[in-house]
Amino acid sequence: MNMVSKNSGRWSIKDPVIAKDMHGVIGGISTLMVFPHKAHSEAEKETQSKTEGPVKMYQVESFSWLWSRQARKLINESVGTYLSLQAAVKEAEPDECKPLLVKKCREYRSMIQACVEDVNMSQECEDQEEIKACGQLLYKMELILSLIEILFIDIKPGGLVLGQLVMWIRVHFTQCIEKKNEAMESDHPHLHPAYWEAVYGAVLQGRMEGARQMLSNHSNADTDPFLSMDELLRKMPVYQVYGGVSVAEFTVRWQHWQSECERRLQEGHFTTCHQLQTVCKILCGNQQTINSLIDLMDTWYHLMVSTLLFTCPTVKLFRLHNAAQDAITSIGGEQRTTPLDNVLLAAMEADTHQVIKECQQVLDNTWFTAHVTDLLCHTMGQKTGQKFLPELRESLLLDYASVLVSHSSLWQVGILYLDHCGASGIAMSQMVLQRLPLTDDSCVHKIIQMASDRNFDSIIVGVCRIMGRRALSQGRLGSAIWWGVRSRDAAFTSHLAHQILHKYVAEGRFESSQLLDHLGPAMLLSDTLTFLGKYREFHMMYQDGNFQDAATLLVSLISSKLAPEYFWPVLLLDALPLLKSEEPVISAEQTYELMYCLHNLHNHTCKRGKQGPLENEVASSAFIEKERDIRLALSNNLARAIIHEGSIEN
Amino acid sequence: MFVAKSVNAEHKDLIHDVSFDFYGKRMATCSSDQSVKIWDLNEDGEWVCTASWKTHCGSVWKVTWAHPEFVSGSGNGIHSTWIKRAGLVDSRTSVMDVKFAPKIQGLQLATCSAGGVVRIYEAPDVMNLNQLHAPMIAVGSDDPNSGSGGKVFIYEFSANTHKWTKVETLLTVTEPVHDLSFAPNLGRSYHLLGIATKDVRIITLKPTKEDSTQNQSSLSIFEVRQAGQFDDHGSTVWRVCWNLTGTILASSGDDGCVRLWKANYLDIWKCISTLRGEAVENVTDAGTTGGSLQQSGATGSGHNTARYFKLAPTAHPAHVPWH
Repeated sequence: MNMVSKNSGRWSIKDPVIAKDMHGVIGGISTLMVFPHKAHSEAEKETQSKTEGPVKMYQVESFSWLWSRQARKLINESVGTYLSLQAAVKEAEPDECKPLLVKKCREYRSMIQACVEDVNMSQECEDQEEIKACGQLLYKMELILSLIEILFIDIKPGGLVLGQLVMWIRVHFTQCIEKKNEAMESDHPHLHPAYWEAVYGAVLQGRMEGARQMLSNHSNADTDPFLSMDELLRKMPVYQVYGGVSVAEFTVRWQHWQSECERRLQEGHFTTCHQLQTVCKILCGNQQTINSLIDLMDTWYHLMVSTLLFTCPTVKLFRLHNAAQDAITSIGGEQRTTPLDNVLLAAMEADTHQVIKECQQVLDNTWFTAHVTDLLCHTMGQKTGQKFLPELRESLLLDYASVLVSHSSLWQVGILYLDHCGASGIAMSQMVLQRLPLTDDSCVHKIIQMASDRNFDSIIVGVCRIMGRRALSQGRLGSAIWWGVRSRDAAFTSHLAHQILHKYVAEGRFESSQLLDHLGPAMLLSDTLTFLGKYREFHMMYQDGNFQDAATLLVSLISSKLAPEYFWPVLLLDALPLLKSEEPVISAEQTYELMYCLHNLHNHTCKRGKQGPLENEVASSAFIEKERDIRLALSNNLARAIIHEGSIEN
Repeated sequence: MFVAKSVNAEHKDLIHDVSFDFYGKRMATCSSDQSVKIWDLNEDGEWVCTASWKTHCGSVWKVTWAHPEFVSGSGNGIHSTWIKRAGLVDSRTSVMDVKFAPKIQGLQLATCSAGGVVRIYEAPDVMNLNQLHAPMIAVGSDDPNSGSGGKVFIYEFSANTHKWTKVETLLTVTEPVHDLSFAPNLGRSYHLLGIATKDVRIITLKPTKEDSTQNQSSLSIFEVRQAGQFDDHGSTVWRVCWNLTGTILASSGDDGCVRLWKANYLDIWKCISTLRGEAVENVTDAGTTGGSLQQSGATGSGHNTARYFKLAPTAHPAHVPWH
């Protein structure tokens, strides 16, 4: 496969022949076939232009991360969560929605995590570049999704968000833990270069226990400065949402604690150890100190959370964007931000539209935007200012589904999503089911099953018709009838039934008799088919020895004119053994019917004989030989029957 | 991100038209070398040429596939002989374009000739008239005289009178039209028409009549809106083609580029990708385009599209084009 070079939405194919005039035709949903074109006008001129090389066409397809092995699992698992979410939201009370949405959001996150683990365990033989890119993509997805969960879905009462943000940072920035482990494993932890960095890192993430543990391993842990610091760290108040302490009370305690930190700093408790001084400055919320440790934090959002932790722990959700802007300025302003940063910033500004838009820039796969928009749409409900959400949701889900349905193994998942996309979704489902190539029986049955689940009758009819014609062309008449019946196509089925009857006349046996015997009420679809079915019944009865019923059936078939004319000879020949049987099975009335039939047949045969050769030579010649026999048998039977019936009456 | 796979066309000259079958697994190509080739997509995703024949009655400009319900050949692509089922011989001038009707119309074929006549052929079959919209056909003209008004005409078929009537002329399109195509309508309340003229146009036609099922005597009235006009090609646009969901439009222009267009959820169209062949110098053979297609007098029909219907006056009912 040639990779086509990219330049911001513009792509090129290196080929001198196609470079002159290129046309493209779309096949399917997103496959483009480009070819070097010559216009009519040029061709009419009959200029024998020599092509500069072999004429080549190019099949251009958009390649999505969704086709990769790692994504496959994510796609298959997330559909379950998605469907259960749609069903649950419909039934839930408004106040039950939030825990439900939080649960589903966490399910998505755990699926992403599972993918991350998968990626980490990947073999060496796989493309390392791709693995790395995949890992980064998954990291970003999880980062954004967990922030969305905090800021939009799992909003705590009072809008106090810092506790969750601290957890968020702790999960996604683990360098301080690594450094701590590194330092603690060495012989003299306090002498290890990473020691103090680990302490600062822990404090900045509010990991006071961890910091205290590390400090207790210092050789000077018993000295005053260390004991003082230990006390400060131990006594730092942490706000608990359901802790029973009101915000006002907490604020008082916290301010009291921070002023204690400042007092000790000013009184010089930590002058002997400048690192402890730094720690204390952090605790006092000294912006400069915190900013100076930016290397330990890497990103503006870590900086923002750490700053808030020591300046305003009761920050409310709506104040977040100010803090975010400050943090961004500290790291050097907007020029330093990446597209990922823009997503996070938009989230902190509670701008749903912007979040989704920026997500589309960062992640080139539609899985994320579709599911997140769905979650946000259900979360926001009918809030003012979010009127665009339902339409956007439907549009993004359609985009995602159309990527899935163009893949041969993911189309079923795609259809499940389309069920929830309104009228456009239904129409697309129908189109997809019609256009799936009918490769083998299991595939066809799957398609029919999915169509019937959704009451797409016209599609079932269409597919059965195509399969019927295919079976016919392959000479599998029984199979063709089965499909014909399912397609409820009377004309086609009649045609097939006639074929089978003609074959019987020619060869004297039925093929696919099993199928014909089990038609049941379906045989009523067409007259000829009904006749065929009934005629098979007659055979069965005859074989079972049930001559009386067989005879009645045979005569009714003849008298009801259900039988096609070319078949009458066969029927009369079938009647022969019954006429000659020892016990009279055919009544006088019935014999009259048979005679009438023979009479008509004889006339028609004579007429046709004058015009030209007969159609079924074999059958007709057999019939002509037997005609005398039949006449004789009929007369004898008539006589016998009259006597028999006459005597019974007496 | 795009990936491209090359296919050796095996044609000795450049290609006029490419068409995919209903399932997208089979393709037909016709070329200046006067041959038509059929390609099948094998299990490895490679296109393999499974049939090829020369046409003896002049060049083939266009190829198109019928719906599989009308085809009695094997669907597995195993057969290697294509049987010529019928020839349509009443056009004395070249046939410029040919398309099959949507399956719901039964087996019908529309052709338009260089002389400016549209003909519609029908195989006697049960026509299912149970449709949501009355059948429509759009015809475009490549008459270079821009003073003669709109170049795209919409005709509608009335089941009652069995006649076609012109219901709309798109006055905003005054330049010669080289291609046009209706988008497959998946759940939309309006029709979407893509037009290739001196630029790319996307037009929406919204039927304003509410109840179009029973009352067949009155013709539809459309609210016509131009959803997009794009000059990105910077030159004549020759071909437009929709994907199966009617969401992406591909346009091919004289600048040697193929562009893909998509609308967002607010129905605002924009170009999402541009594809070009490298070593293209943007020198268009501008002189040959307009001039030689000029048909004196008659409005030559550039071509047609999506839905096709039976035109009673053409009086060619007996042809049975089974492909």
